[in-house]
Amino acid sequence: MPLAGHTCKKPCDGLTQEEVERICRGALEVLAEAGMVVAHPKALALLQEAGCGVDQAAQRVRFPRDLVQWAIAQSPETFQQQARNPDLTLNWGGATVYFGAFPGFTSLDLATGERRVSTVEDLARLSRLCDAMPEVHTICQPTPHLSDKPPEVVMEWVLATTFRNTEKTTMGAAFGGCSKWVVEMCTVLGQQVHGSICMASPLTVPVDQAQGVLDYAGAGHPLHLLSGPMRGASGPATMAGTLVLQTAEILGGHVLGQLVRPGNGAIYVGYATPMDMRLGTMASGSIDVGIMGAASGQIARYLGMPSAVFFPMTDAKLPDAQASYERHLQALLCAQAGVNHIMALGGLENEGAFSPEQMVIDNEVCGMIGKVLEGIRVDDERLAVDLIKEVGPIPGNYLGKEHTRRHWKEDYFLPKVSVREGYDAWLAGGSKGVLERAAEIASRLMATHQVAPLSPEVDRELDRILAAVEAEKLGTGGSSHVN
Amino acid sequence: MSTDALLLSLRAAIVQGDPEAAERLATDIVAAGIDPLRAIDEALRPGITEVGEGFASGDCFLPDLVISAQAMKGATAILEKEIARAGGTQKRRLGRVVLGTVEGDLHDIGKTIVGTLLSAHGFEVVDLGVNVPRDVFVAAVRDYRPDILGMSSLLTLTAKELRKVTEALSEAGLRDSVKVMIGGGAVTKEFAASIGADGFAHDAELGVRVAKRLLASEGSS
Repeated sequence: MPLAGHTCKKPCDGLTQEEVERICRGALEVLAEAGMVVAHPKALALLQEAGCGVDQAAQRVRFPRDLVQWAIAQSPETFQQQARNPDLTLNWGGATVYFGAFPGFTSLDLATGERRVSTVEDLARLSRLCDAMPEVHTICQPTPHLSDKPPEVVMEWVLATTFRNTEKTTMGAAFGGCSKWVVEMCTVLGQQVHGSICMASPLTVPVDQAQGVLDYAGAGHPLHLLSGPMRGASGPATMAGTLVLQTAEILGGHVLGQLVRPGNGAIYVGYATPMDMRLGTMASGSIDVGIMGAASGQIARYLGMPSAVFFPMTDAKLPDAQASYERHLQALLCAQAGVNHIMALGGLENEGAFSPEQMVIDNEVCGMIGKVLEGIRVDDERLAVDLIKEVGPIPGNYLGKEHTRRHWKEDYFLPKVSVREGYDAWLAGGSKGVLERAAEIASRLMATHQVAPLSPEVDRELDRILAAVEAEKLGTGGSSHVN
Repeated sequence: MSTDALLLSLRAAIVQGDPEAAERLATDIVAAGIDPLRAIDEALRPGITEVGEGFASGDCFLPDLVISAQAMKGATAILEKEIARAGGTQKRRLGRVVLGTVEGDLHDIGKTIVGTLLSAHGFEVVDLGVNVPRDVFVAAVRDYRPDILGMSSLLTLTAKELRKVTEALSEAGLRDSVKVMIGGGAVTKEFAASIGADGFAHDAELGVRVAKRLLASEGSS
């Protein structure tokens, strides 16, 4: 049975149908008239053959509207992404809402609070923590940073380390030409990734990302088509304008993916943020990020694609109150909008850093959000009219009633991190706040949580692939570091 | 059923919180001529202890605990009736606590939780209910001779009643015969000291600890 995740029965739409249509019409107009740069000869040839207007010298592609419509019609509204443990397979699309974690490229050390670029061992530990979190349904890899590996081979090491430390599905990136190696690893592992393709805004598909489309779609892995214009900088300042640009970029990548393999699964991934005009920074914790994420879900639904957002995010540098209100408002907005994959749990600082405490807190909040999506079940048994009559006025009470015992768990959320005890008991327990409690849970899980190991044969195959990566990219005989 | 099977089933009925089964099994135990004291020692007490431990470790919850306590109460009444009929003496439990919410205050739940937790820890609990007039408290202390009188007041308006009950106990010459502990939203440590209460707690688990401490000091004095 695939992973159930949560279910958003009634998405809260922020846009009218007409507004969604205008955004999508705008995107088609942009693709037809301005087009995109696709910095990849083979991709250009495919697009030209399919009827796109291609300026080879400028690598500029203009997409006929009917070709974009064809791509939209080809791709399935729902599909599966196979995990090597079938219970962790994902059902993409429909009403399903999954959460994903992002064990970032710098991490905050639990013991010292030090912020540092992760090592392979850090990433292994953080992946195990994500594996232990019930609300983490799938794991996304960071962009390539590992302090103990040469930059050219980091992405492959990130993927291999994640595969070794979680049975959950993962994202497969395309940075630095890693996609062909990730596909090879997946073949050995017997699982699929969602191949993350990051458009460069405005209107550009970089060469490694185009190669990622060819590799992942070619091997039948679903594509995770991400566009993240920074409003006012690499996208229009307006939310509506950036939704047009984001949709155009995603659909441009979508056409290429469907040409490579018609009917291949593809996901619409929103990642637009505003630029803070006082500082020039990416304001990823902004509330309009959540509004845009919700709109992304609605647009994707209109296009018949599963949706994802690279949110929730925060600009906070510590797992503090700002981190919580920014992240959790965004996550709630996106979940209530029926976004199928809300993916960046555990992050701080524009997802540049990963905090184990934040991960544990986010896990708890995502459980609460799941409760929001569940809503209120109304039937005779739960209306409890007979029970209310039986209990009557004081001193009647409900605590000792079988009905209470039968139903309280389904309609309550029992937090693990939040402080619930009375003041005196809290004092007696050491006056611990939510951060200390989260840190204790994270430390314990990182020390004790076990992940089913890969078979020795598969593990050796990953080593062989990593050695081949290093031989090709570094011209060496490979690294002996095995994790 | 064999004696062992009856005792095990009664214990299971307490752990699972099945008041009907607990009463039926207690009746069967009496009918089978099994020593009711043995049933209390080997089925009821370990059963409720298991539930209390489960509650403390987070494996079971207040509704489970309260229903198990109800099952225990029903079975205990049947077994004690048999002990009395046979002319035996009832075994003294860990301690006896008389509980109630003071006059003018109808808040029941907190006091009920305290009572349930106390019984799960082996106390015998006499619950006088809510809106209890001070002469009823005084009479209960005289009649039941409890080790501890526990009173609750959630409202600041009714907190003064706590003082009046302790004064009434003194006038009746009963104040030294019983430890008084108080709790509820209206009560502070300072207030507890000002009326000469022996103990005070803001939540049920602390209440149990305070009650055990009071018993220990009673034993040593």
